[in-house]
Order: sequence, then structure tokens, then C-alpha cells
Amino acid sequence: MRSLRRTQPADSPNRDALEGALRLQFSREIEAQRDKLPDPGLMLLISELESDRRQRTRSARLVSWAGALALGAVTAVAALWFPEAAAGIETLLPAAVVETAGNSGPGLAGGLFGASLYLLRSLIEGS
Amino acid sequence: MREPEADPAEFERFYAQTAPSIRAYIVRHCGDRGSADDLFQITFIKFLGSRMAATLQAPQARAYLYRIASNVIADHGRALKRRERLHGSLRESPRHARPVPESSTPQLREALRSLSDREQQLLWLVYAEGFSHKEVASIMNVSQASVKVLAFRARKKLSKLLSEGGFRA
Repeated sequence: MRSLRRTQPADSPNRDALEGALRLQFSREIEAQRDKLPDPGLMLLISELESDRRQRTRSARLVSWAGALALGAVTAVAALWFPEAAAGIETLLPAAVVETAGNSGPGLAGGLFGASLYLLRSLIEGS
Repeated sequence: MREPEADPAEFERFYAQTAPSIRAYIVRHCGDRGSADDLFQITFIKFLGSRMAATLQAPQARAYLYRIASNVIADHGRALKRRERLHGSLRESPRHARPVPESSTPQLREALRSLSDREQQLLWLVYAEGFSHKEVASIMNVSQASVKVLAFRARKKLSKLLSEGGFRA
């Protein structure tokens, strides 16, 4: 029966020697990188700029969604209280939202909202 | 909400301690040096944008930085594969075109290149950084038991390759 204790060939480097060689090899690789590093101040600056860019993108997205929702809410009230007036608004709404939002998410939401207003008006007229 | 900001002096200390090894780790595990520069930068920017940037002295900060680097390398590898599939490129894969540090022993260098990416990554984390199996498991996103098995196999494979090449430490 094969011995379970025998895990490496007799002529292979022992574990300590292997670990020592690996540590030495890796530490040489690390040392070789010391003079190739960018300045930490530059890293901080890039990170700050990146953070500002993300912040601006988040704000712009929030504003565009808020605008689309506010416009949608006003139109919804108009559609419920003045069905006749809303007939004209609902056709303009998707185009207006797409125009003002500037990205596809709120534009699509506005379009869907316009379509739902059309259905709502049809229901009101039908009842 | 404002993102957490690192104290510049504290970050400089942390950077001096970790940046050389992180860059060496990235150079070893990614294809070319041009990409290594980009991946190194992405790693630190992602780290600085994380909550850990506010607690640089925490013991897990270094492991977290390695986790980001590992994910960035993996993403880069996947993107390269996608691009190669897309272009039907016949170029040699980056794994084989990998730069080899000049200071290394030829047999050890060759033997390390014969290991899988995962095995090389694990050996680095254990022997270059001295991370515990628990930390390695968290960085590589595997269980502690897998780390033990992987480490054992990697050592055994390396040992066999070296003995075949007549390596003596």
C-alpha cells in the first residue's frame, strides 16, 4: 500500500527551502517596483476628481428624474381634473420629457407615463 | 452623500507600505506593463473611494486593497478574453506573454509560470504578503478549506516542477 505520509518525491526541494526561495523571489519583485510608483499625492488628486465626477453625475441624474416626475405629476393632476385640457398635453409630454431629461431613463419613464395618461383619459371618457 | 476621504499623511504612509507589493502583484498577474499601470491606478482609486479609506490603520485595510486588486485583475482578464474572442485573435495569450522579472532564478521562474493564475495568486498572498488562510480566503473569495487544499497542491506542483528541473534552494 502506498504510504500516505509521502507527499513529495525524495529528490524534490524540501518545504522550507521552497518557501524561502519563493519569499526571496517575491521580495525581489517587490523591490523592483519601488522606483516605478506614481506619487501618492497624484493618486489622491485623481481620486478626488473621480469622486467629484461621480457626485456630479449623481446630481444630474437626480435632477433629470425629479424634473420628469414633477412634469408627470402636474400633467396627471391636469388629466384627472381637466380631461379635455390633458388631451393636448399628453401628446406633448413624452417629447418634452425626452427633450429635457437628456438621458434615456427619465425619457422612457416620461414616455410610459404619457402612454398611461392616454389610457387613463380613454377610461375617463368611456365611463 | 460625500465619499470618505483619506488623511493625506496617513495615506502616504499606507501607500509607501503597500504600493510596491500591490504593483508587483499586478505586474505578475496581468499581461503587459502598460495595463499594469492602469490597473494599479484603478485599484488605488477604488480603494480611496471605499469606506476603508477612512480607516487606513485597520488591520483589514491591506487585505481589502488586495481584494480590490484581485477583482480588477480578474475583470481585466475577462475583458481581454472577450476582446480576443471578438477579434478572433491568434495572438499568444497574455499569460504566456507575461513579463518575467529579470532577477529571478530561471527554474523557479519557469516553474511559477507553469502554475495556474489562481495558484500563483495564492502563493503570492501567502509568501509575499504573509496573509493568513482566513485573509487569503476573503481576498480570493473562496473558503478557508479551499485555500489549504490549493496551497498544498500549488506547493506540491511547484516542488515537482523544480525537482524535475534540478532546482536546489
